[in-house]
Amino acid sequence: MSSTEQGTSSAAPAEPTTAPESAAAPEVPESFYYVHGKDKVVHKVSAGALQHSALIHGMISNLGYTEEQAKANPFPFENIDGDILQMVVDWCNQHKGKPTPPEDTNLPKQKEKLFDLVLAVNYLEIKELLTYCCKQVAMMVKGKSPEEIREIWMIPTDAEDEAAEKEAKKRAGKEAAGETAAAAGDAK
Amino acid sequence: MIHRQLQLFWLLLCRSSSAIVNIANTLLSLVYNLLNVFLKLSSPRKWLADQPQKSMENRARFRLLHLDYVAIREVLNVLDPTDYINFSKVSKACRKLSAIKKPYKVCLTILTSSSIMIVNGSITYQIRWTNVKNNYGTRMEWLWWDESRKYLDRCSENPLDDMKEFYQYARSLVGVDIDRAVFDMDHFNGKCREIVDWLGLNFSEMQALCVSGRDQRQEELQYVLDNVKVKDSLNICAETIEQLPLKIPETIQKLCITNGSWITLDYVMSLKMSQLALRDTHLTNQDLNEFLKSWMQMKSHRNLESFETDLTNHEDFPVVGLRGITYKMGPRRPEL
Repeated sequence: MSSTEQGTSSAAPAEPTTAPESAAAPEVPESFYYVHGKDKVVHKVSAGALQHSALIHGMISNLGYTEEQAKANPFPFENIDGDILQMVVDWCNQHKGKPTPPEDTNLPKQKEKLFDLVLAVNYLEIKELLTYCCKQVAMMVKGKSPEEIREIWMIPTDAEDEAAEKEAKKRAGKEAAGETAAAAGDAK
Repeated sequence: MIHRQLQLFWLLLCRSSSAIVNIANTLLSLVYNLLNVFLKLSSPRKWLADQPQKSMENRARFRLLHLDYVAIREVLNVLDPTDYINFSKVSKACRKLSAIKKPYKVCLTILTSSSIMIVNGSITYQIRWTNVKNNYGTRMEWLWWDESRKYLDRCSENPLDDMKEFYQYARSLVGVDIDRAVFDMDHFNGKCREIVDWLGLNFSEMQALCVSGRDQRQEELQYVLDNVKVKDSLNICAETIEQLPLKIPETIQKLCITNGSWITLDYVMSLKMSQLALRDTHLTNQDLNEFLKSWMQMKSHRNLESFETDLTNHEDFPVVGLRGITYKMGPRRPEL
C-alpha cells in the first residue's frame, strides 16, 4: 500500500514569531486522518480539511481515534476511484478553514470525471463542493432544447422507459415463479 | 498445344472468378440492404430508439438520472426556469421529477413586450416575448449589488399567447401563482377583456396590480378593476377619456392613483385603505383641511396609516390646509 502525504504542510509546527508571549495562544497540534479509495492509495488529511465532509466528520466524532489508531485504520472508500478521491482531498485542503467562494473553476471539465465526482461528493456529504459540481452540471444544458437536454444528459425516451419497465416486470415475474417452484420443491 | 490450351483455360478462369466475386459482392450488399430496410420497417420504434444511443456513444455524455436523488434535485434547483421547463419536457420521468411546488414569486407584465418575471431569492429571471426577430434567444445578465437579473428574449408571432402558454405550463409544473401584474392598456390591442378573463380563470387573487395607459375607456378600466382580484396594492396610472370616479375594491390595503384629476373630497372620504397616495388631483387646500381634521378626529379613515398627495397651492397650504391643526414642518422631501 503506497501512501501520499496530503496537507502535511500544516502539520509542521510554526516557528515562534516575535509576537509577545502573553498574546500567543497555546497551539493545539492538528490531528490527521487517513482515507483511501478504490486504488488503496492512502491520503493523509487534516481534521480541519475533513470537516467539509459531514460523513467523515461524523465518523471521526464517533470513533475518537488517536493519531496511531487513525494511521493504522484509514477510512476505506472502496466505491470511490483513486483520482476522484484525490480531487476531493485536494479541494478539502484548499478550502480548509476558508469561506467557500461563490464559483469554483477548478472542477473537472470531462463529463465522466464530473459524474464520478458528483457521486463521490454526494456520498461524502460535502455540501459546498456538491453545489459547485451541480452548478457545472446545470451549465451543460443552459439554453438547450428538450431534445438537446435528452442527448446531453442521456435521458431515455418514454418508449425506452416503458420497455425497460416491462423488462423489469418480466424479470421480477420469472424470479418470483422460480422462487415459488423452489419453495414447492422444498415442501415436497 | 496442350500447354497453350491450359494457359487459355487458366486465363479464362482468373477473369471469370474476379467477375464472379464482383457479382457475389453486389448480390450480398443488395441482400444486406434489403434486410436492413426490412428490419427498420418491421420495428421502427426500436430502430429510432437506437439512433440517439449510437450518436451518444461517440461523445462523452452525463447520465443525470443515474445520480442519487439528492444530487439530481441539487442540479435541478440551480437550473434557470426556462431550462427547468425544457428539462420537464424531455420525458414523463423528467416531468415527474420537476413537478414540485416552488416558492417563486411571479410577475406578469404586458407592456411593449409581454414578459414573466420569476423571482427566486436574489435572482430574478425575466422572459420576454417580442415580435422583434433579432431578439430571439438573447440572454442578458445584470448585477445590482447582491441582486442578479437575467433576461431571456424570445421572438414570437403572438407574444401574449406564448406568454400565457408558458405561464400555464409553469403553473401546472411548479404551482406558482402570479404575485404581481403590470399592465399598459395601450398594448392590450383590443384584448383587454380576453386578458382579464384569462387572469380571472387562472387564479383567485394577486398581491399587487399596476395599470397604466392613455385615453382608455372608463368602462374598460373599470372592467379590469372589477375582475382582477387584488389583495394588497393597487396602482392606477391609467388615464381615462371620461375622467369619471372609479369604483375601487375595498379589500385592498394600498392605493395609489396617478392622474387623479377626477378625485373629489367625497371620493377621498369614501376610501377605506390603510395607505393612500393620490396624485394630480384637483383637491383644494380647503378639501385637504376637511379630510385631515376628519382623519385626526377619527371620524373617518380609522384604518388609514399614511396619506400622500401633491398640493395645488403650496403657499396657502399652511394657512388654509392646516387651519386648526397642530403641526410640525419636517425637512422638505427632495424631488423624485
